[in-house]
Amino acid sequence: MNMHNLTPENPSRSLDQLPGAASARIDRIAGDRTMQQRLQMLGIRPGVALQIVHGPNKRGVVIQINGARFAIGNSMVQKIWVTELSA
Amino acid sequence: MSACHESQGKAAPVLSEQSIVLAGNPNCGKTTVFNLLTGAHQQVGNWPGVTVEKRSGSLQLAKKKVSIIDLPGVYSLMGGGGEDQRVARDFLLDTPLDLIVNIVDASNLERHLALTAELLETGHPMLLIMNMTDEAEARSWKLRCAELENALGIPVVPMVARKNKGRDYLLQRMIEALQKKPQGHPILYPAPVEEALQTLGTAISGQTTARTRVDALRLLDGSAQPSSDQNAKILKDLRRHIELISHEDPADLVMDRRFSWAHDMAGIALQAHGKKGLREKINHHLDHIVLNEWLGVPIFLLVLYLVFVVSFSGGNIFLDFFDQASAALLIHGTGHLLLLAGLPDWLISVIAGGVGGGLNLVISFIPPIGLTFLFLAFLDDSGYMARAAYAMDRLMRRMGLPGNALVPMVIGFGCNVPAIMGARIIEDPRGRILTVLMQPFMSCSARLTIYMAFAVVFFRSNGGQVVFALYVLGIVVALLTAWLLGKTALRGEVMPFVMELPPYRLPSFRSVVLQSWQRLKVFIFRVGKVIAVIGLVLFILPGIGWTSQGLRSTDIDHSLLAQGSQALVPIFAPMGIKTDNWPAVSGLIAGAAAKEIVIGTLNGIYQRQNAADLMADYRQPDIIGQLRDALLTIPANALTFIRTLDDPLGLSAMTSTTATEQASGAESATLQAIAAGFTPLSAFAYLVFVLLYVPCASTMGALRREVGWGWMGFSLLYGTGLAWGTSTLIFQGGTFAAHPAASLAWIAGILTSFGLLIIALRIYGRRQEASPAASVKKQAAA
Repeated sequence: MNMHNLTPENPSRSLDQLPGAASARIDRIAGDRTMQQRLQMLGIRPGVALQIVHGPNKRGVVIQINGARFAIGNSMVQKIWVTELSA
Repeated sequence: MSACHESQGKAAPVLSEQSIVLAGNPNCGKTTVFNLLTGAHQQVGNWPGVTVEKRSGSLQLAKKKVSIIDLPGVYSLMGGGGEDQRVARDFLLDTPLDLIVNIVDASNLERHLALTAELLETGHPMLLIMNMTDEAEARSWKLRCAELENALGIPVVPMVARKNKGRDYLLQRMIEALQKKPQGHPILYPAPVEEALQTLGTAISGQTTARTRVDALRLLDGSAQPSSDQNAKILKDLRRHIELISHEDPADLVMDRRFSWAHDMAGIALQAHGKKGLREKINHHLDHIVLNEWLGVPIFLLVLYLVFVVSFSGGNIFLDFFDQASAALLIHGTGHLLLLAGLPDWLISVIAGGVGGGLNLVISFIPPIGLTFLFLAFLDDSGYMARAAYAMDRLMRRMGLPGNALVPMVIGFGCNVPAIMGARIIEDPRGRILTVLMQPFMSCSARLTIYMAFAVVFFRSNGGQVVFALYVLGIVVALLTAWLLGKTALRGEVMPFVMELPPYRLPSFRSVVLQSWQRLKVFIFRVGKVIAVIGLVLFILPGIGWTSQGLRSTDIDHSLLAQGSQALVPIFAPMGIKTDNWPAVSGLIAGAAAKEIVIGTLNGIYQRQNAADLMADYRQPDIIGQLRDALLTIPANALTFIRTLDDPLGLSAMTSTTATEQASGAESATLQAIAAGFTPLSAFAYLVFVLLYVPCASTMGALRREVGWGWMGFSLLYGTGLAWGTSTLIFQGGTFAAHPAASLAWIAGILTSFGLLIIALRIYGRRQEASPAASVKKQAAA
């Protein structure tokens, strides 16, 4: 699937390790199929670019994808692997 | 039972007139469009087997009546989401329809169009509403509806439903679409996928072509499992074939095709120009405050506090009016008319006192419940609820609950019934059942009347603290119940929190009012039936008794109520109720129907008032006077509301004896009787029982509707058992010195039973885990 810029400066890491207000592209989503499906319905899927709106903090993270905002709880945030996009 | 018949009756909808169904993602403004199209011409239906609201209404289109069906929001026809989404999906796939009106949010077009792609595959005639075009324009996007219409092959109508913009054009295009039946250009998958879909379709051949195609797609993308070994083999071969030709996983192939289609279509429909609009900025700043790590929780508590104060105290302004006016008309007025019609006294008692009295009870509930619904609908539409749920998620998770479970809990302070219904906002079935089962322990406004009557007699100097302690006890028991069940019978992970945060919107007044009116209507009719029946029974019981000549009308001391209550007194003896205090037990029996009538029942019995007095009322009713008095309660209560804005629990009333007496509705004679019948300790134990046992018939009705008979039964037994156990522990603990051996036996017995309950719940939980299919089915039935 979509594997972007896996260079040492730009490694894939989980969403909670991004700095606030960062932009990133989703590489893969770990976790069970139900969860993946649930995220996919919302348009959170590999290949999609996202922007961090709030967090990440203990609660989780709020991201924006195109026009929509999503709150993602901490337990899920660690399962979303992304590559940071340089601004 | 009756509800069952009803839903069976609706199981096969007869669609003689043309039917238009509204479909779209959650938060696309579907309900607003529905309200805009149908106005007040709506019927609320209960879907067979499930309790997710599906609504239908009617509309005049080109002088013909068409029915409009509003389904719960759905993200995908392929699967996922809660029970509400399954209902919407099944309806779209299995019902013959004349037109699907697909509503998409123009400001979030790409994702919403993914559902459009799936809907086009059903082959039904379609029309697309691009809703909230104002928001897209606020983001500096230019809409190109004509281009999208060409690309999709179905009519595209721009709208701002919330502001009533575009209705006429929509009606015109709907008339056209019903005649021309545009089916659009569905997605074409790569050739090997299309061939595979053909082959799979022949193998499974579903009820409708739409169902067959979607089932085949679901098999191919792995969201469904084949039903037979033969089909499994076909599927395996097909998948291998596709992988061989295209070097890609079929699931990815299907998904990529659909999403890139949505991406392309969104590109056709929207053209970006300029910079971010003002609305975007407001949204951003609001989120910064509302989602703040430190402020998030306090803001949420403040919002809930306001909802609570306004629904509860604001509702009280009109509560007395509704109560007294409906009593004047339904009880006294009806009684008088029946008397004039020459009916026998007993029949008048049954109809006016029993049925009328029962209805009177439901009607007096209307103001606080209606206001709660109103505020809920407002919060729902404003976009705040999702943020509040996110803010509370971490705290609630520690108790094994999802973040949004706190919302119904606070509503429960006003009334448990809307609280139980409010639990629908919780997506995962396990979390929803837990939340529903917590609600009966939230101390509702009706229980306060009882606390007050007792507090004025026994806890005069520290009444406020006693009442507050009871509220806190309710919250603690509710949370512990959820925690306990989550560790035993309903084990499972709390679903990770993922929720769309819709943009903040100022809700449309019309939509909010209509939505809450619909909910209120359901409440009144469904729950009213239960209350009316129980009110009837409770009215007859104090008037007739078992005598040597059989069942005869008797005075209250020899009535069935007295006989029954006396028989039950021994059960309540361990919590300090003496034999001669049987009216206290009658109060509890009446309280199982509605807490509002506990003090009334005690009043009635203690003062030996009985049906005969009511008959006198029927003979010379002063209906005008009663209505006038009822009307006068509104300004009086409004004044109280303004004065007590800072004191929503009405605790300040405790400081004044007269005020408390008035607030509790009890008369001095009753208070004296209470003083004679109880000690401070047994009174407190009694109040704890009142707090924890069956809240009322309406709550039980709501429980049955939301989680089914099984869990309703559990809640009834568990709540009553817990009430009895806790009250007995309190009384026996407090009187330990007087009879240590007996107290020790009671305490040990209660703790052992509680231990056994935990073990039983754990065993039940293990069994459910062993057969996950059964548990899912059970939850689905709820």
